[in-house]
Amino acid sequence: MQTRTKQGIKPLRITVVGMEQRARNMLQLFFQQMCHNEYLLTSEEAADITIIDMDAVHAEQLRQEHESRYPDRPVIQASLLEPGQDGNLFLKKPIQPEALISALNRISESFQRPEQTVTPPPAALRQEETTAQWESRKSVLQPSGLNSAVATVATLGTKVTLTEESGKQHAPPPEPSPSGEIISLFPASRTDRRPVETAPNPSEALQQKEKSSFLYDPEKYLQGYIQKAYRLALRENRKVSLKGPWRPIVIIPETREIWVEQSHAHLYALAVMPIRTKDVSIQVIKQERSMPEKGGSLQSIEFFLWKLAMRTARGRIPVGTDLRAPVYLVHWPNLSRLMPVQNGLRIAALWANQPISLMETATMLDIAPKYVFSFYSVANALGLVKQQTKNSGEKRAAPVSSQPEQERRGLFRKILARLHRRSR
Amino acid sequence: MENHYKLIFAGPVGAGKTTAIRSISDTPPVTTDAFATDMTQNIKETTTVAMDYGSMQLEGGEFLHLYGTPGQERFNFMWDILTEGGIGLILLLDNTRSDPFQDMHFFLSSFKKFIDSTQLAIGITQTDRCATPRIEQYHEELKPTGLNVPIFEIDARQRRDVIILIEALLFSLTPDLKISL
Repeated sequence: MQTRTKQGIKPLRITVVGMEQRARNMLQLFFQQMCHNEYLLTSEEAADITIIDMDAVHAEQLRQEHESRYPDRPVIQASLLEPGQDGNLFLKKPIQPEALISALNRISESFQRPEQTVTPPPAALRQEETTAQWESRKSVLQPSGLNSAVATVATLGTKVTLTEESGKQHAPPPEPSPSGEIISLFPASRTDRRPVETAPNPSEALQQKEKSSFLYDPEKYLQGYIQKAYRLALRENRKVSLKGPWRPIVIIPETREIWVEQSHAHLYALAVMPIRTKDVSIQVIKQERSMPEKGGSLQSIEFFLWKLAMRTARGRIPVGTDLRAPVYLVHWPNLSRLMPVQNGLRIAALWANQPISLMETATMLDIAPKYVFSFYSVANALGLVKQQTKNSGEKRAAPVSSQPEQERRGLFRKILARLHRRSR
Repeated sequence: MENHYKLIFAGPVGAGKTTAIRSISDTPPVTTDAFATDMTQNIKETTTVAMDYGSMQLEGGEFLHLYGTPGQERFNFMWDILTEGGIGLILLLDNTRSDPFQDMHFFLSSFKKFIDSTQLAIGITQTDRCATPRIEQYHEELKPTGLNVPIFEIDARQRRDVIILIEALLFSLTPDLKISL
């Protein structure tokens, strides 16, 4: 069995059983771009680890056959259902990248025991990872036996999908609006009002001056390429195509819409994966052509980009953001039709009223900075927030009210409580 | 003695004021709809001639009264009376009308004094039937007025849509309002 060393590292070889080619491609892309080839997708014969999709047809038979051929090989079972009692590592689907990496690291660590010690995260990964996420990973790496890792990995978040496609669509399909329009790329669409889980509170990281853990560079991700393509489409007032490790994407400036053929599952996965510039091409479409009627979906680019940015940022803020510079809202996002960000309405109201820094916002609203960061990142993706330089703009006065302040605040709290009580 | 507060819904005929009030009122709204006998009958069979009224009872026995202003301009004299003591204005605009911007400016002008002393949130209805003007175009149109107010697409039949508009109005009035819902 292969042993990995930190110096001159050999990639851990992984094979997948029961997954279709597209899911394999996504895993390969994930390993190449997010894991920097620490892991390699390989043939069944050459692999160190096997991942089996237990939701595949004849999955149990495949697993038994595989284990009879390779009785000593570690197996990770991926499934929508809860794990069995066979001692294998388990990943609950949809698989979250962090959970996958944790599982693989866990197995990797077991190869190296007993001399294995917990080491800092790989530099490349550390750059994109919050301190708390690393702490979470580190805890999985603690040498406490494979069985405990099963529980740890299985309870990690399951927001991002790496697999699922075509006939095995486990998520509900996009819902048509009353007018019949397909309004969703992702299954959790406009109708899904649950705020997306964000990264852990970075305040501790702030204190430790580990800013890089909550910064990200949108330009390295699908989000940045979409933004770039959208700007080009608006400037040229022509459709723009965006090609890369995904199915065709077309941006239509006249209607502010985006045409995507890629499944929601793959776009979720792509949202968190850095993508190399050389793998992407953005081109103005010279000849007018209509979008095909089947095989894709058309939706508001604002909605699409907002959600994509939320998935990409995950509680982080774009590089170059000044935590102390006042932020103001260029104009309100169309919040009734965008995926909600927790405390988004309050943050928007504050920034529309007066420029104020990200950290002051968190303090003033008495909320965790991660919510402020999330809202800033998604609004920034749509160009709806700006940071004020020293001499730009002026503070707007809060509206004058004839009612005594305390009475008014009490009344508003009651109204909000009343509205929400009926909503439940 | 119980306190009474008012929230005002304004907008042109057919913009969804009555429906929006119905979406959040504790009891079915009292309407003063009459069969339309003028040009508004092309838009809907009945029209509000005095006002719509709904209410929500708050904790402690207080009431939030929901008033919908009559859509027809000939009832403008009612508007000043209705807005007296109101906490803010919800303006609903129908995107299928021939010139929604003109509607917006008309109501901003008519309620200027009230808006200046309170706040405004705008809901754009019927966007499924007519996608333009887009929301960003409304914001562009508002720029010269210096107003940076919430403008959301809404379906007045959807309680959730009406609530988010009211929430935005309340947070605009008190941006640092601390809540624990």
